[in-house]
Order: sequence, then C-alpha cells, then structure tokens
Amino acid sequence: MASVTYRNVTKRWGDVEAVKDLSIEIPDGEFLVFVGPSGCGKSTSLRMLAGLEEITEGEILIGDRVVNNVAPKDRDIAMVFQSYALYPHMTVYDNMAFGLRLRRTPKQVIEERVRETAASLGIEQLLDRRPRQLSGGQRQRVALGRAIVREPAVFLLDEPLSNLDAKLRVEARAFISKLHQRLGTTFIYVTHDQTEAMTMGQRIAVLRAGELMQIDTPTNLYDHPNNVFVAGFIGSPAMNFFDNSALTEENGVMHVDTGFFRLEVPQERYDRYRPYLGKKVIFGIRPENIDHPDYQPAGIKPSLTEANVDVVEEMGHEKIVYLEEGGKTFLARMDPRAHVTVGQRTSVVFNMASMQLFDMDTEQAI
Amino acid sequence: MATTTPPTTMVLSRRTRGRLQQLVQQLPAYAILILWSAFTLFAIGWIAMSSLKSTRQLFQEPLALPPEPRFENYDIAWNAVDMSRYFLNSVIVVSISVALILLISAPAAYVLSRIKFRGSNALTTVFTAGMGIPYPLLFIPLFALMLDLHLTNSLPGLILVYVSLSLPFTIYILTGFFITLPSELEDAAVIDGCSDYQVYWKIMLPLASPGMLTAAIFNFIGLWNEYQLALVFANTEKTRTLSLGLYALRNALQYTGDWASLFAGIVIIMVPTIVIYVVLSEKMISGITMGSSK
Repeated sequence: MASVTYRNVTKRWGDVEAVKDLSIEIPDGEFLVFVGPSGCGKSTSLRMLAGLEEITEGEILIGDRVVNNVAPKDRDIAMVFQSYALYPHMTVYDNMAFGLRLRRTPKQVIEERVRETAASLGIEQLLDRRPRQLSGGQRQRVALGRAIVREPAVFLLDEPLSNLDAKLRVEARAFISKLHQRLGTTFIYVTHDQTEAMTMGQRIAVLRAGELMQIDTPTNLYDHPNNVFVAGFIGSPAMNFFDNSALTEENGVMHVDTGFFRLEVPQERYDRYRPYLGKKVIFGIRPENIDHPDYQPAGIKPSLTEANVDVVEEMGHEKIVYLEEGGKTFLARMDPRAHVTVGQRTSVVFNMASMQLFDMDTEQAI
Repeated sequence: MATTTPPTTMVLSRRTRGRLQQLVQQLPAYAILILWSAFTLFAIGWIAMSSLKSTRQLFQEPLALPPEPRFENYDIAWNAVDMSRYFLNSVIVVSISVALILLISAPAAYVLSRIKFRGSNALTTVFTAGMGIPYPLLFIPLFALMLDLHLTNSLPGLILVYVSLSLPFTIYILTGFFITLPSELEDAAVIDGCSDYQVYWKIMLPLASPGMLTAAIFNFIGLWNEYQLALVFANTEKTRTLSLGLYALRNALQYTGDWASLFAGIVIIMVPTIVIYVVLSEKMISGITMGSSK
C-alpha cells in the first residue's frame, strides 16, 4: 500500500517532449485512470513510474521514497500489459510464481499464494496450461493473477482490456473494479477509452500531447470540464460545440447567439459570463441536453428552437438524432418515443442549465 | 427454388475454378520439387545400394539391387584409412564449434536486436558484410595468423577458424529471431524482478530456442561437410575430419579400384546429416518460418 506522487515530471526523447511537467498526487488506495488519445504520454507516464523509462526531469515518489533511481523490481509495483506479456514457455502456475521465485519466497508460500489467487480469479483449473492454450479472457485473468500474487503496493495497468471483445470488456471492467475494492491497493490504469475511464476511475487524469488537461472525479470532469478538449473527450456521443458564438444582453436577458439560434442563458450564470459580452465564445452542450419538446425532462429551463432532421439512429432506449441548422450538424439524444423523421423540421429544446461556454482563444472554460 | 439454384452452382463453379487456377499456378513449382526430390532420393538410394555391391557387380549392373549385401565394404572403408579417428575428429570439431558459435552469437544477436548504442548499426552491418566474403580470400591471412598462434594443423585451430567464420551468418539469423520476440515480455520480466542477465537466460533464450536450433542445424551441416578450410588448416593424419578422410579414402582406394567401398565411405559420412534432418526437420522448418508469420 502506498501513495504515488509525480512531481514536475518531464520526459524527453531528443527534441520531443512526451510528458511535460506532470504533477499529480495519488493517495493510497485510489483508482486513478490516465486517459487521452494515442501519443498523449499516458503510457510513458506509467512506464516511468514502473521504471521502464527513465525520467528526464522531476521526481516520482512511491510512498515517501523517490524512486527515480530505484530498479523496477525494487519499486514494489506490479504491471499488467496490453498484450498480457505472459511467458509463453511457462505454465500458468510458473507464470504466476515467477516473480515470487526470483524474490526467493519459500516454495510453500508460493504454492499457497498462487493457488489462493488462482481460486479468487477462477483460474485454478488452468494452472497447468500454457498461455497459448488459453482464451483471451483467461489470459487476461492470468496476467492479473501474476500481478496480484506479488502483493504489490501499486498496481499498474496499461490498456489491459483493449485486446478483449466488447462483451468480455464490460465484464472485465466490473471485475477489475471489484478487485480494486477487495484489495484496497492503489491502482493506476491507462486507457484511451473514455468509457473505461469513466466507469472505473475514482479520479481521471486527462492528458493531451504530454500535458495534464484536467484531473478530477468522473462526474466533475463530465459536468465541469476545464477546457474544450476535456469537454469533447469525455462523454459519448461527444459534446456539441458551436464556434464563433456571441453573448448578448438586452433588457436584462442574456442570450447566447450561435448565428442561427438565440438561446437564453440561465440567470445564475450572468455574473460569470458578463465579462464576455460582445466577445466570441464557444458554446457547448451535450447531446442529452437537447431533446424533443414533448419529452423534455421535468424541472429544466428549456430554450426552444427548430432544426432539420438529418439522420436518426434508433438505439432502443433512445434516439440519436443528427440535426442540422445553418450548415452546422449537431447531435441530440432524444426520448425513443419522440416523433422525428429524416428530412423533417422539428422543434428542439436545449436544457440550458447544463450549457458550457469556452473562451474562443484559450479554449478554457468560462 | 429455380431462382436460388443458379447462384449456388455459380458460386461452386467459381470456387472450383479458383482452386483449379491455383493448382495450375502451383504446378511448375510442384513439378520442380518432385523432380528434385526424385533425383535426390535416387542419388542417395543408388549410393546406398552401390555401397552394398562388389565393384564388379557395380560396373556390370549399375542399377540392379545387390544380390547379397556386402557389408565388408564398410569394413574396408572404415579401415583402409583411419576413418574412426576422422569420424571422432569431425564429431569433436563440429560439436564444439557449434556450441561455441551459439554461445557467442546468441548474446550478441540479442543485444544487437534490442539495444541501440553508439555504433550498433555499424556493428550489425559489419557482421552482415562478413557473410559476403568468400573463404578462399581469407586463406592466406588466416593461415599467417594461425601460424603465429601455432595453431595450424590442430583441432583447436580449426575450431577457432570455424567459429569465427560462422559468427556473421549465425548472428544474422538469430538477430532476426530476437527481433520478433515482443519487448513487453522483457518489461514484464524486469518488473517481476529479473536482472538484464536473467531476462536473457530465463525468458528470451528459451523463447528463441527454435531459432537456436535452426542455427545449430545449419552450422552442423555446413561444418560437417566443410572441406576447404579443413584442407588448409588441419590436413594431417591426426587432425583430418571426415570430409578430408573421404578424400584420403579415395586416394587409398584408387589403386585397388574398389569403388563400392568408396560408396560405403560416402554413406558413413552422410548418415549423421540425414539422421539430423529426419529427426529435426520439422522443428527446423517451423524455426525458419517463425519470423515471417508474426
């Protein structure tokens, strides 16, 4: 059990900065997810913590020990890899026992721990098999098992679910979450999939091009994104953005004007938005906050407008509707009972209580 | 019904046509391989058969089966020259050489395939270029070198020459193998607690064993049949290897004209190579193709 601290960590390969001045404190027992598009530095950050990459600048601490110059094996960590990296020439038992043997753990203790871990993962019948005789899901469990037997202070997981098919991935997600609850150890998890991040992380660190964009709980990231990148990355389908929108105030009523809609801004935001009156802003709104007037949720302050229906995707529990207005396409998640047909002009309501505004130049939230 | 039948037959006929086309395309390759195999089998069979005849029978009816096998031909071949010594020499020289070649090449190939250091590319190029040098070009400088080392006409000297000249090829093919092994395995091993040395011995080397085996077989066969270098560096009564022994046997038998026994000598030399092929060919083929399938 240990906390993990990144203190102004930078990683450079020649002129390329893979990670820029990263500072994060991860308390003991937290499930933290690094998420971001490929090349954002999330894997590099994890590999520096594991000791597989050198740290160019800054410090990484596990507990209160600086581990910059500590060998991976002495960092008290275990890692699960994307390809699982099971040793093909060893049985499942030997794969799990390998790390303990290297640490000269008594044979009896190894036997006990491997069997116990295997039982807890439901793989005890596979102990004599070799990795190539296992299915993807089984390999994934063995890889987890190999990490668990070591009883490390920190678990590192590098995209461990990306080689599984969709159904197994959902199961494995819940499985890993439960595992974290049971073990109570610090988990650091890397993924490019925002759904994985949202469903598993207690906190999520969103990275882009080596920079930390925001670190917060899933709900806060979703409801209060710091900038356009986080707003667009978290959530699926992604948030709708209307560039070059303008804020106007007439007769004490504030509107956001996208050029083809004028939508009323909730009163409690007036003070915050007033400095941006007359300036260009980016207006953002999530698809679930756009609905058909007949099915708008109770208790919201709706702003009504009209748009053309471009595409309708029937999901069963909802309709994803591609709307078009003024040459701009945006998505709405409507009630499945909503009457919308392609080519039709429909009324839509915006739940402006959930609107977001961003500075056009800095892309930071207002 | 009537509407569904035509598409099915069309699909079938198209598939059959595809198969036929494939067969026609492969026909020349198969024809060449079959001819080649037939020729090789015939040559080996004919040599084996001839080794059991008398020389008179051999010349009278070259293609007939031996009326009764003459095993004394083997006796003559084995004893006309000191064949047992040559055989032993070959076994010693080849097995020690192959062992040393692998012992040196495997770590070198591993490092060259994994670690980028200043000059690593140049070193790889040097090794690769080494494969292109014809041995006869090296005879004089190597001989001078061995003379200085007092290692001419000795088995250790021959082993030294064999090992050094086989390194480029062996390192080249083993590098190819190590490159195909996923580096995540090394990361996993390092985190599990391996030192660099342990990563190599416990993880990478066992995984490269098909490649090692392939390299071992290639070297074994190459060195077992090697003639030129042995002739230059170990051509004395005591240090001759089998291939030189065969030449000595030819010299010894040419005056008696005992061709049948000469064939027996050839069989003696062929047997170990053939046995190795038969036992290990499958592993060797899987070793050769392993790199390409990943």
